Amino acid sequence: MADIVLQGDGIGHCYGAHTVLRDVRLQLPRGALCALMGANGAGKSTLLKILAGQLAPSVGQVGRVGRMGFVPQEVHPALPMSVLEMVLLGRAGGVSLLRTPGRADYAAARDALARVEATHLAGRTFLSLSGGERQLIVLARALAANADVLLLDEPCAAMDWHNQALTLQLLAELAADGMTVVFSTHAPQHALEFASHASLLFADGTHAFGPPDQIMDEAALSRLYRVPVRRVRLEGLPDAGTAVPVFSKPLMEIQESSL
Amino acid sequence: MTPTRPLATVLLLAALPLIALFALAAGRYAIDPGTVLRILSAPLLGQGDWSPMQESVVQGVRLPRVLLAALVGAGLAGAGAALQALFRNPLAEPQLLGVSSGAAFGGVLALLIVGDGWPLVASALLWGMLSLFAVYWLAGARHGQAAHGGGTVLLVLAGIVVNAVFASGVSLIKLMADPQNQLPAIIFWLMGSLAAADYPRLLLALPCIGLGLLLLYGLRFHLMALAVGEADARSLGVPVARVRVLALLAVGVITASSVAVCGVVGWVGLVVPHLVRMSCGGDHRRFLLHTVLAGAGYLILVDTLARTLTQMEIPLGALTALLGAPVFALLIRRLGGAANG
Repeated sequence: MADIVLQGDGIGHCYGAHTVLRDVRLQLPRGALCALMGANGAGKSTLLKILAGQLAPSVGQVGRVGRMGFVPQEVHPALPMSVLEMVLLGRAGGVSLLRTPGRADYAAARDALARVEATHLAGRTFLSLSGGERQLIVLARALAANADVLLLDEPCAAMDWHNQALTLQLLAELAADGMTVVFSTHAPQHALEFASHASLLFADGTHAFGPPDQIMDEAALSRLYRVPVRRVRLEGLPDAGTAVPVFSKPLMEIQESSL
Repeated sequence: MTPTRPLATVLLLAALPLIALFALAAGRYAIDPGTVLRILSAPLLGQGDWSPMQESVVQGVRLPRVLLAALVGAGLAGAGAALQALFRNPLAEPQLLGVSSGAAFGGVLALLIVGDGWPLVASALLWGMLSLFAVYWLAGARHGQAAHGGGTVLLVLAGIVVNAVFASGVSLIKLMADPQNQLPAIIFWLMGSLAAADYPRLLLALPCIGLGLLLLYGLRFHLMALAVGEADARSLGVPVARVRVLALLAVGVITASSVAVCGVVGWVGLVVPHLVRMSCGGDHRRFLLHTVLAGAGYLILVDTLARTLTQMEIPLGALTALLGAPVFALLIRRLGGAANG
């Protein structure tokens, strides 16, 4: 395919003797919105860092087209920094040494803040914000950077439902505008409702990649999260419906019924 | 939208000449501020009714001292602010990190081998830079761990190690020095004082500290960017390695030339940036400017106290430590609270 902007070929990674990723293959065209899912420690953050170019994979190769933008789960500035300054850092790539951001950079930063509905926070100290608000600001910072590919590490982890909806709709808009977006999440609904692609990292190191509706069946999700998961269809939701965990069932049962 | 606080800039700019005037007038030989002003403007307005003694005290003794205090105070405060961004740690400071003792060792070594003047500056600079890189490497700040509690401990430990090495080096040199001529010169220089301030020293320090501060001012945005950590800053496109090398160079030059002209004066780089952050905010566009102005005023004031409080002059380094330690204690308490909560 000609329009592939992000491609992983047999990516594997180990931290010392501990293998977290094995033979991950994915291909994302321009405008794709890919949800990355897996249990804690399955290697989601590692894969995102490898895709972003922050970490070299132990084996395999990554093909990238354009500028990568990485949104870490948490940013902790060591010194007090205002929200506007944090967003302004998104422009750092275009600010050469011994120079400071110009008018256009400030305008881009304010636009990005407006897109995440956080204009009123501009003058606040970044660390005085709640976890969810901080994630919005870090997202705004990535928007200010004008990346071609956006990689987000659990962007909704600390957010309330309104901000989750805001973030996911924003990601969908960005993808519709031609940006390629990869985000990790623990909510299958995020993938089923918004994503064009899903990437599942199983605990045994295997990997599934494809359209969410097809690869996220009950068996795969149950295996992914090690609790029984049921796909349900609800009025008002897309055909794919949503997926809900059944927390009260013993773990042994699903291993017999679903695997 | 995040005000740049022009009022703070104006106030600091206005306060500096007033502090300087007070310092020029105050002392065991008090001169009223009006006379000081007339003496200073003599090149423009001509001679007046002051005594030659007054003129010599103002122009020959106090003016170079006040100017040097302002220069060193500005430099050390700016260097402290830059180190805090570089190490991602609000407790970073030239003396605490052992840079000052490294520079002091270099200076003492020069005094032993060649003597005062440019060799002393060059040697202080070289050893100051070496100690800075040593601390940087030991504390692992390169890898960005310095952000949290563990990093602070590492940083302080690295500073202790470097301080210890150079302090013993200084002791060894004292042992080797000729007790008639060299030893008194070394001891006097080490005490940290502006009493020996004169125009040659001012001219020696001005280009070094001036250029260092200009470089840091040019880097103010990128220094702020380092506060988010190396990996994050790099992914944003910040040329982390080049920013770091340039800033370390600037800090090294400033600290070493300060040590060269007035010995080890600690705590300024810690106290002033924090006072500025608390009172004027931390906006990166003005923060370094405010810190430099406040640092200049602060050291003029402390030096004036050092020479007027008691009959005998108090060593400047002792007084800055006396004032700085409570601020440091307060910061540790605060950081401790943040780490536990």
